[in-house]
Amino acid sequence: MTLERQFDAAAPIQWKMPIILSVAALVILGFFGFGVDSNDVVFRWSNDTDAIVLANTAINAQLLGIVLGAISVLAAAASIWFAARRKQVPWYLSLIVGFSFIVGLISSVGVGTNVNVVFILSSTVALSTVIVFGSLAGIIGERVGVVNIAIEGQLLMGAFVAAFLGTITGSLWVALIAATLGGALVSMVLAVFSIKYLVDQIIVGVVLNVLVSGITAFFFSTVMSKNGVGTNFPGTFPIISIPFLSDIPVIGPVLFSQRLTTYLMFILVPLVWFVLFKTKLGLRLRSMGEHPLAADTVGLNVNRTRFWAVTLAGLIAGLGGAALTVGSVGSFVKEMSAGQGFIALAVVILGRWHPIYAAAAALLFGFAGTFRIWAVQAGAEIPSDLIQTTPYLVTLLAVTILVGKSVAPASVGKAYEKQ
Amino acid sequence: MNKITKASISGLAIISSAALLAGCAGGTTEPTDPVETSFLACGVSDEGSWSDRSFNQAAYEGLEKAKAEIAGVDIKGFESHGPSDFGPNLDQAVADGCDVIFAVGFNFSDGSLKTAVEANAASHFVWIDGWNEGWDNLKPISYKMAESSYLSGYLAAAYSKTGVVATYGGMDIPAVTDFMLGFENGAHQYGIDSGKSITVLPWQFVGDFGNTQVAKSISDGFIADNADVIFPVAGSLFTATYESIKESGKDVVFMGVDKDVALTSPEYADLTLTSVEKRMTQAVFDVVKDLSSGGAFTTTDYVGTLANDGTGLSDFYDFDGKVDSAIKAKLEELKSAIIAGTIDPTKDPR
Repeated sequence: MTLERQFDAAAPIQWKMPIILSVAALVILGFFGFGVDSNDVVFRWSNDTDAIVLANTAINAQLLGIVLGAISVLAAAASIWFAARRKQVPWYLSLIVGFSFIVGLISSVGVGTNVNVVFILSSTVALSTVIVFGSLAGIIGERVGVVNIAIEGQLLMGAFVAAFLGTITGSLWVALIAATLGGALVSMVLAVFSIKYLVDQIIVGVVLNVLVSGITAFFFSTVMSKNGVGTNFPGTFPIISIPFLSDIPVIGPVLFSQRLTTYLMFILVPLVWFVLFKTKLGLRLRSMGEHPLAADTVGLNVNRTRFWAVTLAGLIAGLGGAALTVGSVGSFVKEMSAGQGFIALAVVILGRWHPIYAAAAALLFGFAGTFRIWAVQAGAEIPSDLIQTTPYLVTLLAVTILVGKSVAPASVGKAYEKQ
Repeated sequence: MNKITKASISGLAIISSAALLAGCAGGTTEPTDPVETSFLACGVSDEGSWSDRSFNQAAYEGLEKAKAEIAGVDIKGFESHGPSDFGPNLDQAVADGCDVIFAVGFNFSDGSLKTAVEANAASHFVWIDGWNEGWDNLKPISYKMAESSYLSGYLAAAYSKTGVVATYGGMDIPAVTDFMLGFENGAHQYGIDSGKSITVLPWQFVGDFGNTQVAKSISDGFIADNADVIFPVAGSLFTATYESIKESGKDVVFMGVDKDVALTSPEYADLTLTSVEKRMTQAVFDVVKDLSSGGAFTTTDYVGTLANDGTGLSDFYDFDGKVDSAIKAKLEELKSAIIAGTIDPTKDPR
């Protein structure tokens, strides 16, 4: 890419990014700055129970919006400067504008009331956890060439077996392991049909989702509802507060006072990235998704590797299911995955098949979901129907701003038959 | 490779047999006693299934109660696993010669019931949470949930130490907002009566009845804003609120909905102040009893109210000692006033 640019000096100037940033900057300046009442917004940094309680910050929302807008205008101007010289717009410029946009949005809605920063951040992490697990499963699958539409089913299965076996055995560890096995089992079915029997991956995935939804609903109705105490009350992992780190204001309670499942997510994201992109194994895995014939030619067993990679992906999705029950609310509820597996699929693409970008994209979804809840509570004078659309609006913006050209692994979705 | 495949296929076999089981549940039939049966009462559930800990289950318990207590009554249940099952299940109930068919839930407004009712003029239908569009073979059962919710709101505000109470719904539909409206008005009435400042936080909606994560975040938000009584009108999602309360470590309680939660889900009783019951069991039983004893089928609405005990608050159980006796007396007084019509629970008292 960069090589091409160097040789071809007359390439057309890429105006897309500067235009997006300029529009966003003007929105910040106009709607979140001059468009807001000249009133205070109070940022609450701590809960009364925190170890270190920071004082609230009261700031004039209009002033804040104008300052953020001005910074964004500068960033947009800089992006024009870069683009005009046919240089890539640095990532931090989009980050500055994106951050200003979010802060401006919050302060303009929260004007006249207070903004509970810890709640917004904690809820963002909580609402994105399951999506992150799901997207990791999606990434691993697609990187080896198998589209995993069944993430939703794997999450649901993981959630169900964790609640069920966790209650029966009285052990949360059994719940966790059972969830991973449950997710892996669903994945194996997908793998067998799509790899061994060459059935269309999308069709198998969709069927599996319906199947798992039916099975779990059936057992929820027949077994769990009759005896909730004995079959659907596993409890949750204790919240582990990491000494000292959890006392850090704002970030402490959000990142370092979580359950085991959330910590596992924190570990898995960089781990999956490292394995996929920094190890020999990762290179081999990715070759299956890009050019399976080449991988086969150098002596790798494509279908066996795909099988185990997809199984591993299901294991991680199953963990996401455990995060729903024993890592969050305890008991199983029918259809509790509530479409998060499908959002995870979108996140895979939004995150360009990269674990860390995908985690960031999942956080964006988590934030959008949180913003909707928070804005209603802040008494936003925006019609509630409009507020309900914010998650989608944010997603749309993110897709256009963050995703340039996303390129899927070349052989994703195609079964490999040995010649 | 061979080994792997074999193991996986046996796993698949287990899964598919389970799926078959799940499929079979579509037409669960109670064992019949052919000798004495003279009246066959049938029910078709919505996608919530008969064991949803909520209104489908309550309706089915009404059928079971009728079978147990009235001689000659037999019952049949048809479970739907999605809206696409509604039509076939209704048709099957007609084909099985049911004397009365209960369609459970607002969701039958998708047209399936209309088709069945109009195509089978000789069959008698009862629609729970529904209405009559000019048919002469359908009886609606509806509820004035705002009445009992008004009492729950009053109780919530009186019980609250912070003066902040909150409610959220599964979806923004009348069957849900009816509860929320009554709750809010009742809470404000307490504010007026006591002279205390009572805040009802803005209503939230999850968007469905399954997303526990959103329900939990909503509850977390309520608690962060000092709410100490939460009323989730969202089926099973109260479990998310329960966990949210436990996590906060604060002195917060919630209220159950539809069923007597402290009784039907005793594992949650320690934080259940009371429940706002939609007593479908009684309604279904009453209708079956009337028809099976030779009563004529009418299209007149059966309306569940405080007056006919079709709705009401559950016992306080563990919380009985924590509710002031003056408040209990006041609740009785309000109940009488609502029954008498001097208080309109859907009207903002402020």
